[in-house]
Amino acid sequence: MPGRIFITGSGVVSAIGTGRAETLASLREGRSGIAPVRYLETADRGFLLGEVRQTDGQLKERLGLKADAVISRTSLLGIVALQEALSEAGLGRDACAAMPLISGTTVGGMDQSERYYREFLSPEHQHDGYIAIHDCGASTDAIADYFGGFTFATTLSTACSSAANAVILGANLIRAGRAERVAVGGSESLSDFHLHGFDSLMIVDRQLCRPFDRTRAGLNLGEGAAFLILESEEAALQRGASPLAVLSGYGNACDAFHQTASSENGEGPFRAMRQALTMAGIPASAVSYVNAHGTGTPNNDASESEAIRRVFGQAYPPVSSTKGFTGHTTSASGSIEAVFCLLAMRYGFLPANLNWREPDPACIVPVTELRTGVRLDHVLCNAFGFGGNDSSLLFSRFA
Amino acid sequence: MERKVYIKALSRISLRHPDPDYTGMFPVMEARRMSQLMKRALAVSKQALALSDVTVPDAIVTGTGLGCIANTEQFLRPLLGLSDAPLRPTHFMQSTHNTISSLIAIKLGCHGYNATYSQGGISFESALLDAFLQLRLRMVDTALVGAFEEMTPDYAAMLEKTGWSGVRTDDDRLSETAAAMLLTASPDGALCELADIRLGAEAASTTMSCPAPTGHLTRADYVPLYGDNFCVSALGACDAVERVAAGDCDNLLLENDFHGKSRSSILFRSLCGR
Repeated sequence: MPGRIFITGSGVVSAIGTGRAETLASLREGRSGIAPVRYLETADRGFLLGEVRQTDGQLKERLGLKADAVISRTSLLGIVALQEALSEAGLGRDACAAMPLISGTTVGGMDQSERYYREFLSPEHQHDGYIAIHDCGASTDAIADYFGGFTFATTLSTACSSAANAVILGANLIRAGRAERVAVGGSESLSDFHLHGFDSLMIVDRQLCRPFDRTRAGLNLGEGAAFLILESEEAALQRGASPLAVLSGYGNACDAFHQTASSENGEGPFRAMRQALTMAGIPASAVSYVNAHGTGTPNNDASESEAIRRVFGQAYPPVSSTKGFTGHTTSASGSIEAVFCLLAMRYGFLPANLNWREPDPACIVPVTELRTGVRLDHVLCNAFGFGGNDSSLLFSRFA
Repeated sequence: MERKVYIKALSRISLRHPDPDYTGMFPVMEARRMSQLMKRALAVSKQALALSDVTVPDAIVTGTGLGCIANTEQFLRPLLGLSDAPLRPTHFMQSTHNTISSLIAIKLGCHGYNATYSQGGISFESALLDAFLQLRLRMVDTALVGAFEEMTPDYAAMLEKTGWSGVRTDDDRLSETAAAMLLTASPDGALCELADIRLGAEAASTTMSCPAPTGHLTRADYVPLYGDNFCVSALGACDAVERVAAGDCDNLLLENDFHGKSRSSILFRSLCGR
């Protein structure tokens, strides 16, 4: 196996901030971004959401795009995050033209399709441009186009583990010698379709989500995007880039249990975490922190807790879910929370698992208050999706 | 040393490869909840596995441009007040793009790697690239790669509005795809070698391991046979594999230039005289 895989850039946007600085401040101050519906066009205003506090118009203006540009919110958020990641890595358009872009999404252009669908099916042509940007791949293409294009762009769509799986493909491209560096991550905007979809499954809580709490009753949906720049050790050193961390392991496994429910023994999550540790060649006891998928649904949190116990035993490392900050950012959660992990590692803190009050015998006991002054050497970041598409990423301190 | 990758078996349903008889293939209650695309996906996956003597693959990787668009529409219409039907959770549950790949895993009891790609006209190639890399990197020994696409009257009408070239002509009418291939690291009983696969700008580059292929297939060859959809290149790939396996050519380059939006190239190499 060739050298290590370095992370040399990261960018993020979510309900708790645009960019790393705002995000870091919110995480350290315990400031949640979940609030009553403000931006999403939905008839039912009774939901709590983790919305990015900018309209499409404001995002376009920020990015220098025309107000009538035909582009999905998914793409807009993705561009904001990727721009920051490229900037931190010190990469420009030339570098983009020489590397692949791998993103994860499920919503794609649905936020626009649901708005114009009636017109799509009528003889009217005013918003037909949005038809071609409905599919997931088109939302990634629009991100790529903004930066002048990449060698190729592709899109993972494995529901809530999409962005984590984009990281895995990117790493495999580097390991196979197919690329020196890759931009990987995910982007997801809120849509009425997905809000009502999750609600129809009766897993949306109208109160604040309470991951791992005994009274937890579901998730709050969120949105956002995050990208990482992965580079081979050789390529990064050659251009004098400084690594933020090392992607030392990753795992992808399928729970193969049910389309939307998780197995009681957490087989998929267990395998994903174990694979990541095995690849890195470190014992479970070396892990300093686990950023859990922890959506706040009764089923996910119990299943994930069981998997964590199977991997780590009763002496599991500090665990927290940051869904209480951002809501569940679904396809983008894997990369958004990866950026949280990188920030935690760099600034030596453990983000709190907000809204936890009562222990549940079926669940792990999370970190409930911010802890500072901690040294994190190895951090595991979980992202699990419908269909039992479970992935886990392991980040290690650069030494 | 990187390993070579082989294609052991394939199975497909297309305009020229009719649906099998699904009677008795699935439990009645289950069949009622399954869309046509899900039935097709399971049928071709099971056949590709049976032809390969593989019970459970190490990885399942799927490509689909639109995912389960019929279920998506069935959930969207009542939400937008275009239908009086109630919002049914099953439609949402089975609308996500990874529904098919996970259904195959559930049916096979496969806990291995599982992923779904949705990248327009190179969704299948993205899935194939993922599996190819993992076989080369020795992360898996077998991988089931699928390409599944359905078309609805509404979506066809929408595509027509956008001026998808040739939608109206009979030669490249909109169609559907269900195709599965079993990739292995072993040449035993394989149909051919999957020598290389490149996406996007790399597809046109001379970095392909064979600059002068003896066989060539493009959209102009397979779209008139199978119609057009986001995953039709998988049907072209099936033809390519069969031609190489039959000894028609030493190596064959399959090129996919999808409506000027995305490109890919795949190189298949014959095992004859190996």
